[in-house]
Amino acid sequence: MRWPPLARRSALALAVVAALAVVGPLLCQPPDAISDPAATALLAPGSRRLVLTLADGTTLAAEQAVQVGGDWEIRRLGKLRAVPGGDVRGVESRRYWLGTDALGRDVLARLLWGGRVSLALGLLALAVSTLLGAAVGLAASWVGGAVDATLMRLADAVLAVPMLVLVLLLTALLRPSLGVLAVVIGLGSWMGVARLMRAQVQALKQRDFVLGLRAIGASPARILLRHIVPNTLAPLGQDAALRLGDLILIESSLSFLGFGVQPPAASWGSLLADGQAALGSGWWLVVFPGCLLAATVLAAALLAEGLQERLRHLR
Amino acid sequence: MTRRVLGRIAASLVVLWVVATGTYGLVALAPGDASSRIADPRLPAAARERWRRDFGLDRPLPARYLGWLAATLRGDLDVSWQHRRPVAGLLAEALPPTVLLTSLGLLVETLGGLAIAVVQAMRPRSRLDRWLGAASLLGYAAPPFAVGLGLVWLFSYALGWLPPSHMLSPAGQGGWAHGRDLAAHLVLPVATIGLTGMGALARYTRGSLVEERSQGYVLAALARGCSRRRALLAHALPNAALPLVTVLGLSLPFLVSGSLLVEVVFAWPGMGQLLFQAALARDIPLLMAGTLVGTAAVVLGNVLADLAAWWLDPRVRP
Repeated sequence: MRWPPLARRSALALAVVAALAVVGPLLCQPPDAISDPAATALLAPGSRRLVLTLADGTTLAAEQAVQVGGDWEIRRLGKLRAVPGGDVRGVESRRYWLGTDALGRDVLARLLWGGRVSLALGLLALAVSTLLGAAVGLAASWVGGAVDATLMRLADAVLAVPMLVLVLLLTALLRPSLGVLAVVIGLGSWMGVARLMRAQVQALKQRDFVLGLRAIGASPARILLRHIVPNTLAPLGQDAALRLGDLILIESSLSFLGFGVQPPAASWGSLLADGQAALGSGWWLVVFPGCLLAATVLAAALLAEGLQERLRHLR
Repeated sequence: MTRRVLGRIAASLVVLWVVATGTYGLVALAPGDASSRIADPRLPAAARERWRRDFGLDRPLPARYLGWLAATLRGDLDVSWQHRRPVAGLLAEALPPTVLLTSLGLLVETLGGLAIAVVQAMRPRSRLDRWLGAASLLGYAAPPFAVGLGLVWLFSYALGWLPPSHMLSPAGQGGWAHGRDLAAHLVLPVATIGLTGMGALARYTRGSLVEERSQGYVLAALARGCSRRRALLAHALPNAALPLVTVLGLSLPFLVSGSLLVEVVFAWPGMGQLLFQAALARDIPLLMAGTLVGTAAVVLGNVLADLAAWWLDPRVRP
């Protein structure tokens, strides 16, 4: 069967976002390279500034600049000003395609650098929760009995705690760093995987090929690792695709609340938090990160749906 | 039946106990204790020891745990480090605004989701169906805080129609003006919860409505001369909406998390705001109590959803 077109398109969109996150920072300057913050704060999308670097290292961002004789005649913040030609080291024209924030940082650059953090943390948390959940599910279904009952009641209990509240408690107890953050998000989201894995293994255990393997004397470890686990990978992968969007959302929620990535590093969530602070003065600070975040989550969800469709047809 | 109901309630009490114990264990086993978290690091060692004794930290862990459990069961949730007041009182003050906000949000979410699904299922695969389907996907994927900020920008800053935050205007008003003020402050947060929640609901209901439509009993109703609209609303919808009760019950944790974000965006003086401030201040007793109350709300919601499903649908009744 061919891939459903929507799933193909969203896979493409995800790939574009990922590629931008990987390559993007090479294309633009790091967002911390601010020139003349007073004159570049909260510029609207598409603004252009001429940046003059002076001999003492300071920068001037001018709306207009003309060279008269050897000297520069510039207009900065609406005021005309003359700069002696000898002071000027270099002149550069900069275009702020998506505007700038209150500190004069380029929103496009911050989005690209922040996307890196958002995607990396989402994938890392996904790996943690999938591995943890799969291990718990496998242990529960293979050992059975009291271990199974205990682990599954534990999953029920963690499932009943609102995710964000649990993660807030964990971040208050542990100092957040990127690794801790991924583990914390993983600790709050393994339960679905564990249930799925347990159901899969229990169904596979009943199948004839397992009976056959037992009959020819295969060891339990061999049956489990070589024959049962490979059969659970397809549903696990589809489930992981479905949860990728959710985990990116959770990371951005945490960063939005200020418990995720700490400044000056930024993810899409913390960009939105900055946007909230300057909401009255610049819509672009909220709209661009919000749309990018929503588009990424949407693409992940559609991709998961396409995978599900495809798996159903393969069966 | 009574046995099943009691068993269900007992199981949820076990869940609550596991969560309480797990929370306590996390806090007790995390590096550092109360004396290192809230006491001044320059405190001399002797004073620190007295501190630990005053907090009961010199007793063994099981004794502390049992004491804590007994106090929690009595409703004594310890004193907040940040506010220096009993946690129970703080939670009692923050609960009504949150209940008001989330119940209205849930109402908008359910009604909106059902309405979208019915409109879609009237003509499946039409252009309107596809557009609404795309819109509900977008609602599902959009982060609640981004939607909230977008609404604030549009309706408070650009248009100036509605207040951007808080529950009431600073100037106190009485009577009708008070109610109008509260309603104006409610519109945007309720809309945010509703808009971000109704997408998933609409997708789910549309799927089951379209499935029910092709069932024999709907065809029979149409053959008896029932109008298409009536066949859908009076015959297919009740059957399609039944599983929705369970879905709503299962979505409660997301509602609690989502309303926490919405409360922070809109500076709503509820539980979410209280817990957010507690996390900022590392106010562990308040956070622990908040976790318990949030979990209790979810567990209660799940039990109610199960009971409602049993009551509404004889087929799933035990």
